[in-house]
Amino acid sequence: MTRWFAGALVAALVIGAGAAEAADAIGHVKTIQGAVTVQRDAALPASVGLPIMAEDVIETGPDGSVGITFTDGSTMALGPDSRLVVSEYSFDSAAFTGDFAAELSAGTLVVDAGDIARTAPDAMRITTPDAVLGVRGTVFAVKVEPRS
Amino acid sequence: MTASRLAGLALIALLAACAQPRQGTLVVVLPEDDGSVGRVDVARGDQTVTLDTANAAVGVDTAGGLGPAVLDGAAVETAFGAALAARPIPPHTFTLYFEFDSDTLTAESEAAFEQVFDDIRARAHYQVTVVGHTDTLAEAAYNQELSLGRAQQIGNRLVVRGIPAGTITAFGRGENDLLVETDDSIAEPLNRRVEITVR
Repeated sequence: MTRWFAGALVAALVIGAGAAEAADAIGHVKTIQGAVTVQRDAALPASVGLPIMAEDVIETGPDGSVGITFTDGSTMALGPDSRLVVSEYSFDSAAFTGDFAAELSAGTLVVDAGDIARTAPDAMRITTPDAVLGVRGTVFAVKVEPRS
Repeated sequence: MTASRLAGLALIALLAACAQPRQGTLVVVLPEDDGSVGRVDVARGDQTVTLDTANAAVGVDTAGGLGPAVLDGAAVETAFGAALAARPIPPHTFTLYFEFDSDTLTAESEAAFEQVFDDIRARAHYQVTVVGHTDTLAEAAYNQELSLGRAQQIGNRLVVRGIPAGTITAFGRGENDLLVETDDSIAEPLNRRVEITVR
């Protein structure tokens, strides 16, 4: 893959920053409502455009919801009182193959699976406290009932 | 019935409620915009339920019982309305075609290029991936360069029109990813292309 380079120095600096971020970003926050945090080293308040990294923990409050688009074209949307861990993510954007595992421990999740799910039957997996979902495609929803 | 006896019955009822498995996880497969339906395998232990028809659902209780069901639209909205409303705009891919051995778009694709900008403008936040391709005429190494040149040319034009360079990734796939399968050394206009994905 050749990352984008333009001539102007200012543009090159901006691009450099973009490339450094893109090297780790596996997706970005696209929609947001109410309280949403992303736990990385600390709890980050989420906003539209926030990069998502592997192993991030995404949590929504009682009034919260969030939509994320991943580099393979998958989208995930969480409803209120939800908790999602992106436990594994890798994607080869030239070969359109990869591996994607996420854990929903509470709340609601709507998934529109992208290229990774087409890689192999078990390439995309969602786990909950009660079940393991093998995703072949494409649109589905998962709800984990409160435990208490 | 004595008070102590009542208390005893209440205790038995409470124990029964505790032992009763509770609703744990609900999974439902939804039709795509074009009406097609994917497939999700829901597994617990050595049991698996395959969901592959519109609105097919399964409830998994906390004890591991699997209960297949069908969720109608109203039930889906009740359970998932807020998450459904939070879904991002889906990624869109545009395919544009080039003149022979050139990074100049065909006249039709030049006109279609505007749709890419319309799509970008509809998004609050976006990334753009441009992947260049060629047909199988000429050597593979030459085609790799040509495909990258096509992708970079389109990337440049996006930047000139105000799309930040940091949002764009461009790369070439040469003759490795044909839209129309051909033998080597075959001219095929449909393989001379870039695929632009906005997400």
